[in-house]
Amino acid sequence: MLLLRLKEKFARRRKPLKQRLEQRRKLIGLLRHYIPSISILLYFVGVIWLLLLPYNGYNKETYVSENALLPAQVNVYYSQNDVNIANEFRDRILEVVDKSRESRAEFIFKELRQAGFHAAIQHYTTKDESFNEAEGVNAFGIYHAPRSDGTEALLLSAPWVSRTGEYNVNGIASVLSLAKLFKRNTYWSKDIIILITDESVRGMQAWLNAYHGVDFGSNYSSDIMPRSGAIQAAINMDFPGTREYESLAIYFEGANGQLPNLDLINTVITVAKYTAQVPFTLHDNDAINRPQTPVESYLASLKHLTDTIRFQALGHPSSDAGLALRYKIDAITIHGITATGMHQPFDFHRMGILVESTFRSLNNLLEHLHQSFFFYFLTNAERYVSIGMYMPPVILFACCLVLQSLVLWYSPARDDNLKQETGASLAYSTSKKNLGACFSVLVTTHAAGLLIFYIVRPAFDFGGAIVAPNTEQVTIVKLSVSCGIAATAILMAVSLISSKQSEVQVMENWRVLKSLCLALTALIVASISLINFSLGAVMGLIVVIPYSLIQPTAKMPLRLLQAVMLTVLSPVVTLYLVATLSRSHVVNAVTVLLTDYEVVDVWLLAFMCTAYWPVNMALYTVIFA
Amino acid sequence: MPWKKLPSCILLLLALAYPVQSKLSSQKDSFQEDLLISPLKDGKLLAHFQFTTLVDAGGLDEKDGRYAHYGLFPKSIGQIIDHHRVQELHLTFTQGRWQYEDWGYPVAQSAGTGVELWAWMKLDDSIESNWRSLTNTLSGLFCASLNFIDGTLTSQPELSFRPEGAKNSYNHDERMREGAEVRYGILPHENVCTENLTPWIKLLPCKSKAGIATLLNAHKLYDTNYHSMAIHIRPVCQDANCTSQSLELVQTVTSVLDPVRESGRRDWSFSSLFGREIQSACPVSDRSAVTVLLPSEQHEYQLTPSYDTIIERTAAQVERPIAVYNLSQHTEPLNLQMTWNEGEFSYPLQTSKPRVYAHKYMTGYGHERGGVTVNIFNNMNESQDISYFDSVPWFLKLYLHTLEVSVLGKDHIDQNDIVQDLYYQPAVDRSRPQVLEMKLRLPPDSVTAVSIEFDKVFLKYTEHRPDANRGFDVGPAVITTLLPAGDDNLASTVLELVTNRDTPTRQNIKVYTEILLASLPTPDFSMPYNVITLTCTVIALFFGSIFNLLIRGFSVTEDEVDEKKHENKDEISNSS
Repeated sequence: MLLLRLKEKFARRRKPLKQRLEQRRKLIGLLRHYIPSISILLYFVGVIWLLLLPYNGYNKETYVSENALLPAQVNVYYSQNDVNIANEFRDRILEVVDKSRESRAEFIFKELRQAGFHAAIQHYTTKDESFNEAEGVNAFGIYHAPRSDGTEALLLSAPWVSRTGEYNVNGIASVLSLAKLFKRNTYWSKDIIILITDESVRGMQAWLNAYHGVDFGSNYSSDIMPRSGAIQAAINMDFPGTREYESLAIYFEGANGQLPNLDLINTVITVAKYTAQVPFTLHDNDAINRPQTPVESYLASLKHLTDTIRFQALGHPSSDAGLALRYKIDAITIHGITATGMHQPFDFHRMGILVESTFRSLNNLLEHLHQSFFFYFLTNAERYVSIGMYMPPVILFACCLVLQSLVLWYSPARDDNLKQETGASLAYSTSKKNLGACFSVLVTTHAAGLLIFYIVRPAFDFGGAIVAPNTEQVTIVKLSVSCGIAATAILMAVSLISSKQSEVQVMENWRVLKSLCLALTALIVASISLINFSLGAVMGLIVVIPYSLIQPTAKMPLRLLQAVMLTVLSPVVTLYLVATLSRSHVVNAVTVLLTDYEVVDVWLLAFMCTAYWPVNMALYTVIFA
Repeated sequence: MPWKKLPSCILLLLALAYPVQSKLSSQKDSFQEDLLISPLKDGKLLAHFQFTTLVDAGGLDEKDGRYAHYGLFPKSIGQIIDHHRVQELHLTFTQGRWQYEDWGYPVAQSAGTGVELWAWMKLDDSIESNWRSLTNTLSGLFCASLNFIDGTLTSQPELSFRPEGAKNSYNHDERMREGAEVRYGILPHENVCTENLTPWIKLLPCKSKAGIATLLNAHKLYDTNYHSMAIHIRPVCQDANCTSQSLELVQTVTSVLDPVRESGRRDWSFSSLFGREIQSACPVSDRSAVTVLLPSEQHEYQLTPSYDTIIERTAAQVERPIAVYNLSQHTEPLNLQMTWNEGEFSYPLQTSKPRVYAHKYMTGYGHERGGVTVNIFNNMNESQDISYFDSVPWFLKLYLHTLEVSVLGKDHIDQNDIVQDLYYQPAVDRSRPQVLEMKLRLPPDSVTAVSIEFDKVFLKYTEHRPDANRGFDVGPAVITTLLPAGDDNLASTVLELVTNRDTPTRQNIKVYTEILLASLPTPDFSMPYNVITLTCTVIALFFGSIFNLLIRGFSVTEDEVDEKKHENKDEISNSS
């Protein structure tokens, strides 16, 4: 009753149709007029927001959220005696370090076995730089904690070769001395696994795969290798050479932009600060010279942030530990930055204390690390930006694209004959959209993307024409073929959309196509940012403005300019630019990308080929339609 | 004088007491206590305590079928098995894992981590309630969470957990075999501690006041690498024809101690291991002995005080001398001490693999699906028949079509040649686990992999434990096989040899695999409401408006006034 009465009341107030249409037209005209500038504004708000994140007012101090951890609260037992043991190990490691992989692994096996560990050697097969079958040997040992049920484990790993390219002599010596220390005590509630990997990334990945029964390779030693329970956390020790260190660097980014639980980093930082008392930093940044002025501090934070964004956007794990995250193992790498002699350096003693105390904390865990954050940015080792603060910019980028897309969708392409009928001009196009042509363009470009992905994959070789190994030439050929496919796809698409159609039709087609492309880009940016924020943000940053500006024009120079813009944004050229900026060759960049795809299962390659590039190709059609 | 009558009174009393005493003595309760010590290959030391109480089943009161008189046999246990109509019962509390590869086979076969209970019960209408009641009663008796063994954890093995022992009346008596069913349950994550040991000690006739049980010092016992305590009750035959039967209660404590951890050396003594010495034998015991399984080389060690008897290579399979101390003959307190003639102990590089053992592990990652694989090793030169038992909780949904039994490295061996028999019981959500049992014939020198895949169930939020992010424990797979005496089951062979309890030619060996932790998809319990409400609102608003906008068909509507005019016109035209 009430509803009906209200309806009547409002119905009586309704103005005549013409007037209403006029009103609506004005309103929508206003929107259409302002939305392009509003959306550009949104973009810049997003950019400024991103730039504000390193500023201390927009981030918070980290805190240990899991109460069970109690970092830096235990008495540590790593003593001078253990330092002597480590020194002894260092000398013996130096003897075997240059020998064959097999004898190195044998050495570790013997040492671990003599320490009372359940030791084993894992022979694995992997792909080398040119994607041929290659072999490697990992050695590891498990300490079955007394009286524990063995359902949980902690992993302490060290590669033979450090990230600096030197041998990880001190790292392994320290790990072995810690193994002896761990074995002396019965307070462990979790098993401890000591793992020395052969080639860092490949060895780690092969071991993790075998441990979780994902991929054994052709060798049965991986099938029957000893195992423990679910690994709760992992620390990877990377202390190159035999000298002392001036500061501790932490690498935490994983494959595909995954991050370990912030509590793990907090624990290590707290222990480093209070128990081990060593200077610490993120990545290879300066830990000693603390920024003094606010500007310095801002720039230092920005550097930390961009480092993380770089690793995450490329999906490239910043260290071996990053591979473990996929298996729900929170892991970080602690890396010693070799002393330059300016400051009080630290050696085995403080390294040992650091790891011992950290492991004691992790040993306290009653549940898997879950309390703190999995989504964060660290602006320095003790400050973080939470997801609530950093997510809006990407949403603004996506909004910017969506708004433009909607405006294009409802823009009238031609004067509707409705105008004559009703006498009022419509604010937006009411005609049925002809989506066939646009969709066929998108289907073509996506098919091309899939084809490129299929060809670029290392597993693909060109039949008999070019026989593997995948060398530099093969990479270049693959890249050129990809570009060829892309160009063909673009030509096909242009012919699809512009052939045998009236000018009005073509006019409408480009609007619809651009609208679809922008909406698709917005979708990609928004949804990828949930999985890998940095990738979404970077894509938004470089794509939003150029894509918004694209439109058909009669002027040839403008057309060419737009085409050049799109070409710059196409994956191959972007890759080239990234490679040049990091002073590397494009072939190397491709190799890194392919290795990540093949060995570590990074999906950046798939994303580039099947999501990013097709939209880019489709937009060429808009220019040349 | 009343005093004159005293001798006659005593006589009368004696005369009255006589038949009672004879009745008691005819019941023939007997009690034996044994301690077996054996150095293990990896420097650890196995200490196995075994207390055997035998009661004549003839003492069964015919009227109500209950034990009326209790001598040495603990009344609490007698009443429990009587009331719940239990034929055979095995209850084991274990902490730590038995390392088959380093230690060979355990003496007490039940070695699955956690608390394990299995019982053969008389089949009648009340068997389910009897089982429930049994778990609850034992839970009260031993201060353990046994009452959590409910329907979701109870299974009825069809091929494994058969009544054991050559003397077991089950194998001789028709009546026993008829109408008895087995129930099996395990709590993998149950911690075992002093509060479980104390009631266990109370079942002994001498408690821990005298005899071997004085060594059971909780402080030391729970600082070991492995600790397992059990009670086993079974009916046994007294003679070959099984004309008379008795009820046997075997109480065991198995500890694996690590003298090397403290000093780097393998030396040990009672006072260093247990902080105590054995003062005397338990006075009511028929037999009270400490047996030490000695290393094969005489010059490697010194053992003080010297032993009473030594058995040199009696059984063909026992390659090592055995020293026996008869406590009833000792007047001095016994503090056994063994010193090795070596410096620091160095671990052997290779483990001594037992003949048949198994490992179990989870495969895959992520919260949606996973798998489990059991590698069964056969190190013998001949094929071996085993039975495999695995009870998987309902929240891991097994797919039977993914069950794969393969021999690693020998792809030509067909699955059907290995699997002789298969029994599978599907789960019922929230009430029954899946049970997978197989009879397998392991090829010689092989590793047989049994793998199966599952989906992880998204539990209701109330079904998560308080420590939701820890994951759920999945019990061990159990492999049962018959093996002749050998190096890996030396300790149990020796114990049976010295106690002369059951002397089968082949021993029933049970191998327990690791227990596993299954992490199921867990909601974020810290802030469920704001996350759910916020997300749903945003999605509803956004999706609703955009969907509306995209799907709406735009068409020109006439003004209502015009419409009415039109309608009128139509009516007019219609009427005309």
